[in-house]
Amino acid sequence: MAALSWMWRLSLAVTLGLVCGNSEGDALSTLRRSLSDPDNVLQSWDPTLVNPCTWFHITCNQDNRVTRVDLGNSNLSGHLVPELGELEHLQYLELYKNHIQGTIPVELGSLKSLISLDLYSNNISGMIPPSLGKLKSLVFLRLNDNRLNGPIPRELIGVSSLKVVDVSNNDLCGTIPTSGPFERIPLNNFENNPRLEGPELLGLASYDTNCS
Amino acid sequence: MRNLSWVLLHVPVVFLLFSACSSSYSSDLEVLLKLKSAMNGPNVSGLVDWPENSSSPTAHCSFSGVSCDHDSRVVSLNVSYIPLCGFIPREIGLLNKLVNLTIAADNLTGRLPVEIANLTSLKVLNISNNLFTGNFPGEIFLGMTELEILDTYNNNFSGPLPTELAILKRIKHLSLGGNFFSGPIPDVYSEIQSLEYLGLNGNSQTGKFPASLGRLSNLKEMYVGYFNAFDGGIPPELGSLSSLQVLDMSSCNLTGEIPKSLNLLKNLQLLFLQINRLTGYIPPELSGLVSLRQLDLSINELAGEIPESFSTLTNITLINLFKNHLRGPIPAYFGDLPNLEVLQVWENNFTFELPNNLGQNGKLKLFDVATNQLTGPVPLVLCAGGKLKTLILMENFFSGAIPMEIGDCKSLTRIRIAKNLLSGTIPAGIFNLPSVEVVEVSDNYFSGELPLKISGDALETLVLSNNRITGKIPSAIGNLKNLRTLSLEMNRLSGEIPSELFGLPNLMNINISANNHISGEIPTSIARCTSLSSIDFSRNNLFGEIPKEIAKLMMLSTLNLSNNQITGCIPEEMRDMSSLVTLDLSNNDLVGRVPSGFVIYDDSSFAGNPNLGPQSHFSCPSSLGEVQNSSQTHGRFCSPVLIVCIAVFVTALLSVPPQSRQPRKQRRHRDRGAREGHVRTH
Repeated sequence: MAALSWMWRLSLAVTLGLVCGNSEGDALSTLRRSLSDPDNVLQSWDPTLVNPCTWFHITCNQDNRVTRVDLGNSNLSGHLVPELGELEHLQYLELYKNHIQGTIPVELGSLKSLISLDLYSNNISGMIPPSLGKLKSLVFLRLNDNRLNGPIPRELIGVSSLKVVDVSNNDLCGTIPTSGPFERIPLNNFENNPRLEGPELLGLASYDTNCS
Repeated sequence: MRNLSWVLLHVPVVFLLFSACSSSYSSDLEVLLKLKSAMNGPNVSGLVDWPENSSSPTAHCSFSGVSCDHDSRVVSLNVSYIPLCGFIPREIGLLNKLVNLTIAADNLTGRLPVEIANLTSLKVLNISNNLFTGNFPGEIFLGMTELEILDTYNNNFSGPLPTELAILKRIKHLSLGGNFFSGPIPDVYSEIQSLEYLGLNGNSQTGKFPASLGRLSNLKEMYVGYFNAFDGGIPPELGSLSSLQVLDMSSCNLTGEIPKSLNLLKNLQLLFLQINRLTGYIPPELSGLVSLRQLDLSINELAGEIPESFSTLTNITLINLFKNHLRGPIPAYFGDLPNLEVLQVWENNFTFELPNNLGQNGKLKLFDVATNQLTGPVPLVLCAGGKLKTLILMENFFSGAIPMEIGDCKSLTRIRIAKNLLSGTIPAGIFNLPSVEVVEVSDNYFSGELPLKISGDALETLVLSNNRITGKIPSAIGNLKNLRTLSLEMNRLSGEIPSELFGLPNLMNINISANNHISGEIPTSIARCTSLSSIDFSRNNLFGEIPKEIAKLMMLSTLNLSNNQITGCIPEEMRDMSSLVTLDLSNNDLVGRVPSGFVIYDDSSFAGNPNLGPQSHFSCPSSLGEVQNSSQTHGRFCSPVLIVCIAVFVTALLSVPPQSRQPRKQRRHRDRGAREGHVRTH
């Protein structure tokens, strides 16, 4: 009974992951299921392995915790998943230059070790979640060349580690923050957002923008 | 819930009423055509060889999947593996001579019509692998006295399991798994004495597992695991299942101990209790399971040792005990088990040495003892039969050398022996195995050199780090067409990096750090290796310049060249490497200025390069196409002016309100001392 063995294998894979407590492998398997992968770059992502540390495009630390996801330029489509927020030790999330759609999960704000969030050159829509303001180690935030809308969250001003922010080529609105890390970010990293109004004018009365 | 007598009274009435109402159908031919129309979903035209315009009244007997008796009544209907997507109509009940009704894997939906109750001659009812929903109408069984096989596997039925099955006297095969049935397994199922196969796996059953099921003395196979979640444990009464060959109670939340009474199951071949919360010891009495072929107790909380008495289990082929709290030795008799093919005991507390004749039976295929406290040598005969596929010894205290025989073991696909105390030379054969995908021998004391002859189309991951390997990196490494990850760091390798390495089309990660004596220049051919994501050449003796071709690596995320003797300028082209998020060029002999656009890296990325920085007297070529300020000045006499300019700029920053600032930071790093074509070399 082929159907019988298929279901058991799938159940085994799912349950092994759940019971084994390797939620990081599970989270990544969930990501894999919601991505379309015509070039089979995720072929090595075997959910039956003890941990994802031998999967290609994944790097772990000494404690077998995932620190890097390197999937730039991999012809992936589909969408991101909230489970990515479970990768507590993740430092580098490189998903640039794909065809990923959908929104940026707010759960990415839980990635307290994150240094680099590179989602640029995709088809991502929706707003930039204010929860990204919780990423106190973030250095690179590159969301350019997507279809993001809404404002640039003020919460990002509190991320003093930010060195590179690029949100150009989107559909953002409101004003460009100018304090905290944004003092150092060149204006052309905000260009080609037709509804973006320019640097905020601090100290003056805030004016009504059609952006929320 | 209606009681039995009410239904027995009403079944004949329903039947009469039904035949009265459906007098429009006078033959099985018309019924089958009605069936065709209902089972064909929207936009589906299946069963094309059931023509609607048949002239002969017995034409239906030659429809595909249909068999008739001498009265041209349909006795068998088998329509399966055709995506029909429709439903079963009430008219099915009119085919009352049916003995076999098999409509499996047809994507049928809807509820099961109660009119099936009319099929009182039915012996086989197979509706598996469809999308039927709703509660299962158990009342259909009340007249089905001949039923032998019921298969509803893999549908979407929900609600309680039908208790009416208990009255059936001939039923042998009950496959109700893969649905959403909930609630407890009915106690009355223990009365189905004819039962040989019981499948309730992959449902949502709960409650205590009924001990009464131990009375099913004809039962040969029982599958009750996966997604079910029982209270309590395995009833000792199950030891009475004297005919049982397969017991699968995996992944269903069982607690408590494994009952020793299971040793009475003299016909048991497969015992699957994995993925539960079983505690206590493995009962030594289970050595009584003389027919046992496969034993899986993995992923539980079992303690104690592997019983000595299990030496009698001479038929056993598979032993899975991984992820428990077991201790003590791997028994010496494991080497004598004549049929053992799979031994996986990783993540326990096993100690002492492996039996030195382990593998002598010539049948060993999968061997994983990782993450224990095993000591002693690696048995020489593990691959005696040439069938060994996985050799996983990592995270133990094995010592001595890897047997040369492992290098001849052509069946191997994965070798993972990292984190042990192994020494000696790695057998050259390991670098030439045709099917091996992963070779991981890191964190040991291996010495000697890598072989000159290297091959292997399957090898993707080669991890030799943290050993004492000497000699050069062989150029034959370029033969490993599928290599993705190469880890040679923390060894004693010397010589140059062979340029053949960069011809590897799939190489993503290369780490040769901390060999201290790898020398030579970084070849420009590095640019051929376009899939490179991570390069670590740090802590070696590399000299020469960083080739500008490195900027062609569009996927390079990490570049660590620190602690070498690299000279020259940092190529301007590297500015365009947007994928580069980690860069370490510290502790080299780089000169000139850090190219503009590199402001994102900390000073630590460039520290330890005495002639690198804004004060550097060396000049590096600036790239064409950079925005040039019209008021360029040239020559070194400019430097004091530059300092003054910067001072003014900074003062301006501090005194002017933010909105009038021009955030163009690149200015500070723009080269002001351009001397065309002046290049530094050693």
